[in-house]
Amino acid sequence: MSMHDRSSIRWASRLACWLGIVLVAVISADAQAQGVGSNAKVITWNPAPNGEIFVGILGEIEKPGVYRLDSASLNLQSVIRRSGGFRTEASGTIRIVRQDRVVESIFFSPNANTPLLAGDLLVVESKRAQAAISKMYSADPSLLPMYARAAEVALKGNDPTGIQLAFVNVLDRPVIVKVKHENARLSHVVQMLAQPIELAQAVRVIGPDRLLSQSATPHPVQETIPDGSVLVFPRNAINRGKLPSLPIPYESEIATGAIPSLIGGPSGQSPELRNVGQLPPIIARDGQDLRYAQPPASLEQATIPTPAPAFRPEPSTPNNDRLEIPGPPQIPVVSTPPRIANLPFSGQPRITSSSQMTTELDAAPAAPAPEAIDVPGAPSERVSKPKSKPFRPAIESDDLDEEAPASESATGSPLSSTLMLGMLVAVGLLIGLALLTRRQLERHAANPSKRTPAPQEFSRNRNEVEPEEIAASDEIDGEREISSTPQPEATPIRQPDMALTTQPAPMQMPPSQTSWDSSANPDLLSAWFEQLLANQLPIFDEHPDFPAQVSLQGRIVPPPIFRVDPPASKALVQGPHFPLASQASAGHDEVASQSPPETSQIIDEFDVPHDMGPARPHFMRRRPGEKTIAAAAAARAKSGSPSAPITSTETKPSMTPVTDALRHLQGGQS
Amino acid sequence: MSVGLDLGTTEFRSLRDSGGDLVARRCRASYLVVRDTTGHRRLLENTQSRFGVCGDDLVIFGDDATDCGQMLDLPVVPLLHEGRLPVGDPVARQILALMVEAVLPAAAQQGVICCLTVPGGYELENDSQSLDVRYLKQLVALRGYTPQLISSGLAVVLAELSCAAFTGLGISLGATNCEVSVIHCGRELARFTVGSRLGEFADQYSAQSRAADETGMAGNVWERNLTRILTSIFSEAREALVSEGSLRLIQQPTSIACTGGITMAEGFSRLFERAWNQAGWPLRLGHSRIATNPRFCVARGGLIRAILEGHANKDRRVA
Repeated sequence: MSMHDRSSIRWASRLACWLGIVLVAVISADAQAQGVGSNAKVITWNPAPNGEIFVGILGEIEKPGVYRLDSASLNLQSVIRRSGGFRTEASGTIRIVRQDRVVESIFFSPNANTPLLAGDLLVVESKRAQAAISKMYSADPSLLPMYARAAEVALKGNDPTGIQLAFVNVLDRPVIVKVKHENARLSHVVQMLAQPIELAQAVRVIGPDRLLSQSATPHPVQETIPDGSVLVFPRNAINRGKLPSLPIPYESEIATGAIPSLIGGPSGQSPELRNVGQLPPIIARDGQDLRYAQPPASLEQATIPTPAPAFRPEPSTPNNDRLEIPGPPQIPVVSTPPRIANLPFSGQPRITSSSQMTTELDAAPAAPAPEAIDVPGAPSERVSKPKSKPFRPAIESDDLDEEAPASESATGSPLSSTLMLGMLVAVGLLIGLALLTRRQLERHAANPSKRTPAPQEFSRNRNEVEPEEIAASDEIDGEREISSTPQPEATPIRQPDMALTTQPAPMQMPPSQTSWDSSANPDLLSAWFEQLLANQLPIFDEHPDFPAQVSLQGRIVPPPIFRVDPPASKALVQGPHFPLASQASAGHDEVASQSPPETSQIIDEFDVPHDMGPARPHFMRRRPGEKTIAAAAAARAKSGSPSAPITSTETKPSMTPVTDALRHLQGGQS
Repeated sequence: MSVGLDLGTTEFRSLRDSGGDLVARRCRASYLVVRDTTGHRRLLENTQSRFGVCGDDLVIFGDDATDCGQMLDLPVVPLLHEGRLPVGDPVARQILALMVEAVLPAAAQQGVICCLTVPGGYELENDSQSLDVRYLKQLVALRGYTPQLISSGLAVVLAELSCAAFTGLGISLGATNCEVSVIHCGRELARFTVGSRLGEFADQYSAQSRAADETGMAGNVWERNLTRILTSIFSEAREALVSEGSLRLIQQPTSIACTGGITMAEGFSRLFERAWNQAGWPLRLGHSRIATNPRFCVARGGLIRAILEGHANKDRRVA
């Protein structure tokens, strides 16, 4: 492992540790803020239950409905192909409703591969409606009624039998139904679904067109819903036990009569296409076809006998994983058997044509997840927990999908925190691993020779001639051979031609050495070694590794020091060097030729009185034995002999006038 | 992990293969002795200099010695004075061992080949190796390597004349010695060594270039002197090698590779060619190549030799 690898691992581990510490701190702070018993916010991804994937499509499509797909065919093109292709009125723009909102609006391309997610709802827009609505929004106000009428006609669709509606959050999958025009109102729809009428106020309508769907105001309850609208119900607000029989998804792999070009002809031209694309009617609890029924009065009497208080969605509590729909407590809850057609397809599909209707409630297939809803006043034994999470892939927050009861919540909080911590640590480790991998990839990309294993391949047998053999053949054993053959008999060690091309400064090859045959054994030399030979590898500097505490034994031998003094004429007065002799010295040779001066001479040289400048005040008393040149000169002058030795008993020089003045000012104290 | 070690007069360098990377270490072969005082210790600790204690003195190693010498206005002591190990100086030998250990990392496994070069003038053959060479080899062996001694000229040819099948003349212009080796197919046939003290020329060149920068004078004098000494070196080498007879083995035109610190001087290739022509070699010069990275050229040649030897040993074991 190279130095860079070690440093990379070290940095990655440090990064992972710091990331883990920061995340633990964040989690701890979040847990402190939420309280002891609260669950941390968990972002989960709910896959399709039992691996089932449903995608709904409606609008200008030949066979609208919900399709059961596998993961391999979960793309837009596959869904369009299975649904029989576009109608002639299709504009080609498809909106994808995901997570209760329009997440994408794309123009269909048959050659692309647009991925989808389980639970997506596709709305194929209509050219006519789009144009009419656009004109309506951009028209002169005086012409607005005319365009509004045209838009109304366009929104009604061209199907006289009814309009298409999609329901979200009614089941674990999208639901697409067709209702009569007069029943295309939120209040009627809610009543047909046997739900409280107050629920209609909480239903959000996503219109068939972008302009309509951008409306911020909620859709009026009694207003007609445009064709191809998506009704988004509040989550967990549907009492599924009261739901009537709903259409089951399509199971067929490819829709019968699907046009390969994905663009279908006008409805009615093909018998297959006529049959497909129509949905079974909504069957009421009593077996009545809702499409042809009189919905408001009869259904109200059947399902909701008395009006309930205004619907007010309440956030879920730890005790209740479902939203409770306030209903009349005096009315017992009818525990109906599951009727939701959510079973896997087996045998003949139930919907083979649009004319087929389910007339018997008992004949409807049993739903796999009969999720009874907790209703106030209902016996506790009737309360059943959901067996599976909601089908739709969702980023759930605990305040909406808190499924654990309070007792589990209190105990489950540390567990979830531990899981979160583990996940975050794993994420940190993955980040570190990714950094390491990236560095390795960069290194390999920069130096592809490392992918080739082979330093062993550049052995000397590359030319099948050992150096010893070469040396033996070239051995200087005969004058004749040396003199007669300037060219060596042995074939020189040859290199691939690539080495020649990778040289930074190409050399002129001798003619006799151009016989290198790289094709004979091209992979003998590794690329790394070639780069080493060509001096193309970068060199990384490393500090020498000296030990920290070193104790050397022995005695240091002083190195010889040679001193060369400049001539006296160039000597600086203020410099540290003084001429050793009064004579001018040209160099060390002349100095060496001279006899060494006596010590007394050097002292005398030092003791020559120099121009010391003005006298300076001395505020401190000299220490015993301290001498100055001036003092020595004065002493010698006093003794009368210039070469008299200087002793430690030199007399001190007299005080200067300034010193005397200072002493006088200080009261006689120095 | 193969290693090439270049023990030069002025600097120790090592180059090794570490997981596909070329990792180099270098250290100036000099030290500085200062008194063990609180001020010196504080200075060395503040500058994070590496030093050792020897009695009442502090010994500063390597590049830190040069820096501290300039800071304290003290001369550094070359470890290999005139390219030779100090005689009767045990402390210097300890410092030498420390520097070799600092430059040469411990071997990952026993038996890894380390090709080393020493300052010129030594007999490299096993039967005639001097005590100094054996001492240096022992230092390398103590780090876990199998030392193999090669000449600087051979290392230059291995590093620079790969495209010429490792055949030609390798010239290493060291600080104290100059080596001219005749190499044929990676094998050294003859070697000529002369003490040239080209390191002093390098110092003069740097001083003169500095003076030229200040005064605007051209370095004609230096160029003339360098050409003269190169001519004399090549002439002596020619006489020795022609008389020895090894020049007849190499093919012509002959490739020449040259390295050394002095080769980094501006216009060296021109001076080199002029000196070569004036020396009158009986060879037809095919191509002269000046090392592109003269600092690690010898160490790289040692590394190449070590890699080749390592795989040759492996092949022998397999056989």
